[in-house]
Amino acid sequence: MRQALTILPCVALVFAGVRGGAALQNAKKTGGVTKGTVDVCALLTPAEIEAIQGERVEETKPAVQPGGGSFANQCLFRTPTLSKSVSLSLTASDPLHPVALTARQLWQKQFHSLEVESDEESAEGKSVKKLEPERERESRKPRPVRGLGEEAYWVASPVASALYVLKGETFLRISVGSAGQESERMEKLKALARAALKRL
Amino acid sequence: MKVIRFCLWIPFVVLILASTVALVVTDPLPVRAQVGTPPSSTISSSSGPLAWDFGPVGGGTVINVGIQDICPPGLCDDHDLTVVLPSPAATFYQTMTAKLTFQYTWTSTLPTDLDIFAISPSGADHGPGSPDNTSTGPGEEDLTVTDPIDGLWHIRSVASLAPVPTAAHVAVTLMIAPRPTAPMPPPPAPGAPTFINYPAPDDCTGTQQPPSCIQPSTGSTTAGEHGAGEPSIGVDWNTGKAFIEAGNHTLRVTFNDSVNPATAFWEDKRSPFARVSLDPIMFVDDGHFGGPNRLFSSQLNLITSELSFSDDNGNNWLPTQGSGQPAGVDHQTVGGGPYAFPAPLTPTGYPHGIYYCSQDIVTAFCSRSDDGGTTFGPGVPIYTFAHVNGADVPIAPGTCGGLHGHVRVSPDGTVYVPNENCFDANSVSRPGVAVSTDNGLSWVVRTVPDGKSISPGTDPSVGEGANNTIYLGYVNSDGHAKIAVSGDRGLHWSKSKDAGTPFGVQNAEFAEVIVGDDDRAAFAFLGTQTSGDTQSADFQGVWHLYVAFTYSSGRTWTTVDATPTDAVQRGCIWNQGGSNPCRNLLDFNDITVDKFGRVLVGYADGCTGSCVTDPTQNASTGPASAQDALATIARQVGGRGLFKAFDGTQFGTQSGVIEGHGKLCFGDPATGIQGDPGCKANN
Repeated sequence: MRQALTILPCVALVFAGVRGGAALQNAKKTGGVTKGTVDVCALLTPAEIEAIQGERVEETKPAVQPGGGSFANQCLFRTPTLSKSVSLSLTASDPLHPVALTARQLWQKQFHSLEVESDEESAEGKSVKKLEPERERESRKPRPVRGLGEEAYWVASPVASALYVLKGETFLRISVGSAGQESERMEKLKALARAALKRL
Repeated sequence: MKVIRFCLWIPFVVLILASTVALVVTDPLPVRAQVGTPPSSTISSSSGPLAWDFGPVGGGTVINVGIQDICPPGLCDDHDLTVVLPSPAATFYQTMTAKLTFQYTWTSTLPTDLDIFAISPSGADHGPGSPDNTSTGPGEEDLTVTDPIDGLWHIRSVASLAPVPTAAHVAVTLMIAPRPTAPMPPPPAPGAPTFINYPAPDDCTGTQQPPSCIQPSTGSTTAGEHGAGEPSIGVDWNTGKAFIEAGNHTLRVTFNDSVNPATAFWEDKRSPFARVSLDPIMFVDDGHFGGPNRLFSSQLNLITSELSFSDDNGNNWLPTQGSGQPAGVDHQTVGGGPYAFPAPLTPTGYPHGIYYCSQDIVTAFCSRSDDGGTTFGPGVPIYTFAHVNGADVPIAPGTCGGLHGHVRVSPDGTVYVPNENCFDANSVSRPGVAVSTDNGLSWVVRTVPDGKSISPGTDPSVGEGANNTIYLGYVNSDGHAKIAVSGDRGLHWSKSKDAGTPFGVQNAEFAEVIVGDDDRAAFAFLGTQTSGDTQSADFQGVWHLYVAFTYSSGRTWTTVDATPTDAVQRGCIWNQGGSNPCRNLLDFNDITVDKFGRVLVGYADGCTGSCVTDPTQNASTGPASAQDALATIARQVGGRGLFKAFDGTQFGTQSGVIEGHGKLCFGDPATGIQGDPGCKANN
């Protein structure tokens, strides 16, 4: 079953690549990813999202958030069913503030200062080791995900799980809603991450 | 910048830390370095100032791992200081106060951060001093301990970051003075708001039957009324039933207003989907802004998170999609309200957007539900943070620390998530709100310009009025309970008002705000007239629940003591997570308003039974009666409420008979309006 869940999004992505060819071309024509500025809404095509989430994209909503030496460009791909929408953000070093915390340093600080689960399959049902006496920090369990970018982590949430992927001096955060089981959501996000990584 | 510098020293620091850990592991006996001159001394109120030199300390611990408690040689130097008071602390401080002040100085040639700690005879850590930063050349930290207990203190010089072993010098003074007479609490003015407190009864045992006790829900051995830290409260505006949730129990309270004072009937309506809980949150999408009174219960345990809801006052519960699945980092909050224009097409016709906000590893995020909480959309980041020295902190203007308060939605659909620690445009830490005007699709952070973040923090609270004015209640860096008002979604704020001034409140915790009419708000907080470090096991403050009311858009406030004869807590209130004897109340209280404008505050009472009358009891040392967390509701029974339409009607109660027959029963001391003296006679 797990293999099927892994394979299905990949197959879907192949079809999406065919169907979404025009959108991808458009993304490349408009720059897609250029140094200093990133159109995060061009990192995924509507066809790719429709192929994986099963619904068309009705709206893309870009936004930018600050982040000391980094900037986080966001895009919300809204589908008719909100829980199938996709939130994608790209954190990259800010060329205007080169001395502050870079995106890669932020990644190191956030993911490597925590004790993480050794295997992505082992979290559920396992007793949790107390890490440090800080409020709610006991529950931090980013789970490594193999085969994506330089590093990838899965952060579970009952309503909006997220997948983080590091590549070079940038990292992605992709989140979907609560539709489906966690394993299904993870496979879908991995497929979406692979598609976005190709354009970085 | 400090972050970057720390990174450069990490290899060196890791070596030192590793050797320290090895030392501790191989030698379980406490290691206390004493190379300073002299190694011990005694100070009293008559001895005058003292001074000594600490021996050189080097290396560093980068993060606070409690190295001051071990004090290994090389990293730390100890000086034993005996504090002598004219009489034992327990009696001396009833009429006197004292300050033990350390001026700690050093000189360095490389960037250096030394810290001073004072460890009391009871083992309470005080420190580091202030400013706690890295400097080159002359360095200084100052540390003041208010009302130090008598006995042997360990004063320690600790290297936080010292590439070259560095000696330090300390000058110490002990000043005593008569304890200032606390300002007499103002007598309740005619017409001032008044409250009756309703503590939850104990579990039914043996042949006991409600209403004198609570029957635990099926499958439970207790209703959890004594484990009610960080409670949520809400009211169904149709049925009038109130709900208070803590732990994994949702307690339903039915007030009988046909008798005076009203009586309360408590029931345990625990959701079957609420299993073990770490972060309980309840939310009633009440009729204030047109909600259908759906009751949500959110529970996080260390493995999964459960979100369920009820449309029949807790008799039946349904899980939302996603419940029972693994949960990573959380600290969730659930809220809801009308949509901003243009409202999305919704699949079920549920009138409100429901928001679930939380934090993960890099961002805090909010997720919206368009079907009444059955399913949720993706998590949209609301700000980014970084993990530094054991805390998630803001990293740039417009970002906040990781932990946030409760999400609220105003009538115009604007969504607010309050946070104690956000960076303004100059990277100064201030209380603020993350704001979304497009139904949670994008967010910005706005801060209160005259507020300063307190550390360790306590959640602020935001409330919204009928015409979208927002009120942000928070604990300022000086410990005072402050509240600011904005009429433009946080772009501009009024000058913050100190709501504890009438009672001389010096320290506050657990700010909670609710708004009714646009110009009327209530601000509840725990407050004590005792200054000093509320996190210290030695703290002797007595805490009460105060509620401040405004009927003038925040220009004036009337503050009342809702628990005048019964302390809510004696001693410290710990708000740094983990386990601590003073963490019995956990992290927040809650406040709501019913359809008549009556304010209800849900709180955990930490001082019950013999603690109420025994001033020697203390949360840090017990007994259990001073470390309780009893579910309690403070319910407004007098004064004006938050809806002008019900002024003078005693909240429209008394079996439907409007009290006062249209006369103004209760005035407003803040504006000089007097209640009609004949009001009661007309009842």
